[in-house]
Amino acid sequence: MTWERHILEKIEACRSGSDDLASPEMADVVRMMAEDACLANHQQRVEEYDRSVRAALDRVPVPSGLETRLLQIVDQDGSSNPVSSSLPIETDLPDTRNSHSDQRRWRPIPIAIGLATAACLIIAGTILILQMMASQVWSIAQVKQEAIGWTEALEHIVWQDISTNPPATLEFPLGMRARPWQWCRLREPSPGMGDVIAYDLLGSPSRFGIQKGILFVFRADVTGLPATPPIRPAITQGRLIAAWHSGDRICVLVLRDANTAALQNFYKREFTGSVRSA
Amino acid sequence: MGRNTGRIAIETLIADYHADVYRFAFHLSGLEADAEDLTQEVFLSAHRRLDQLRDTSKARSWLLKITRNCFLQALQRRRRLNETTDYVLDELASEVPDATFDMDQLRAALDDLPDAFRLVVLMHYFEFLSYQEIANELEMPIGTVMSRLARAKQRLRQSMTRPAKVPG
Repeated sequence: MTWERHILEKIEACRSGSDDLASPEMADVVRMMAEDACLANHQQRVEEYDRSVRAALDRVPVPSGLETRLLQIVDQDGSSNPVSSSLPIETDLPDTRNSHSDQRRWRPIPIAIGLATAACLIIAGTILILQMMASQVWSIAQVKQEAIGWTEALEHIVWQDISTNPPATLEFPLGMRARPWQWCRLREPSPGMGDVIAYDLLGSPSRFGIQKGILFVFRADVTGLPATPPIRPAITQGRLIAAWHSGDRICVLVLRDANTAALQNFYKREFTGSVRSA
Repeated sequence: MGRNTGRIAIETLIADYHADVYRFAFHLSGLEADAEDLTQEVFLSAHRRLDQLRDTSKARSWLLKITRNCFLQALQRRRRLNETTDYVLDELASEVPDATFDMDQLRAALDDLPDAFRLVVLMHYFEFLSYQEIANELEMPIGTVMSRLARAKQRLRQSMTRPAKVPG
């Protein structure tokens, strides 16, 4: 990021009518404005514009009767869902606990056995499920299918800026030359898979335009994967999908384009060129 | 004590802040009907967890935060949180236009923003949160918030200065 952009972003981050500019983080902005009248003028215009926007946002008319409707809804909610603190406390109740506990004393052993059996079943079931999840072995086809689903899910995800806060698992494999751009973490997107880090990659411009790809990096037991990006990955459902091992992680690259020749060229240039020369 | 205090408090909250909550909901959702539904959801939620509001001077912030969370939950249910990567800021320092616009222009410009950008810009303008507070609330790096905020505001200004459609 250039320092100009940094300064300008800071100006935009200040709230009109606040003392944000007085904070120590803004010292460089204040200093720059003192030296540059144009910048100071820009800041004033931003502040003036922001003030107008804030005022306009408050001018939205409120539907008539809204307050009354809200009171009625809350009132109904109060009658059907009494506030917990309004419940009578136990000491106010007639003391009938002794007679109840007398009745229960006749059945302690069957209850205990029942509870113990239920607990054992729950524990055994949990262990079984965990073992199944831990020992799940994925096939390449399964992983590719999952990756297609993740790619579609990413259309609704807010990406993180990789330049400001790269994740701890940022380890691009050798030969990965596409420019890293953004990332996000998909938490357990598939049963037993664990976290998957998705990287939004941007290739260098070519006659096919600027191609984009998604690289998924995760830990899983997958059979039959190569240790480097495959030279000729298959096109699956209109996507070029390449999967390989990288240390203890699995990498799955998904490229999308209707033009399969463009995909192949992009992949060849960005992801396999240095693998061949390595 | 609990019930009476709660009842009075929720009525006071509704009287004092229903307009703010509705406006915020309207700017987030873009539709009057959705905004009213969201406002109802917010005050029901507030009613049920009134004990969490310990500092009444922060009632507005508290309600707006509930509004934001309700909106985000609804978005996730609808899977509508659209991507934010399409906007590249070419010239951040482009000239700031005169602040002459009407509500319809602002409404259209906000609608035009991706959800993630609109959220940040409304947290800045309407919730009046600092960029550090926005970063904390969204669990996002400060640099990302500043960058997104700057892009969103520039986009907003550009949209509002677009020439109106010529009749005929």
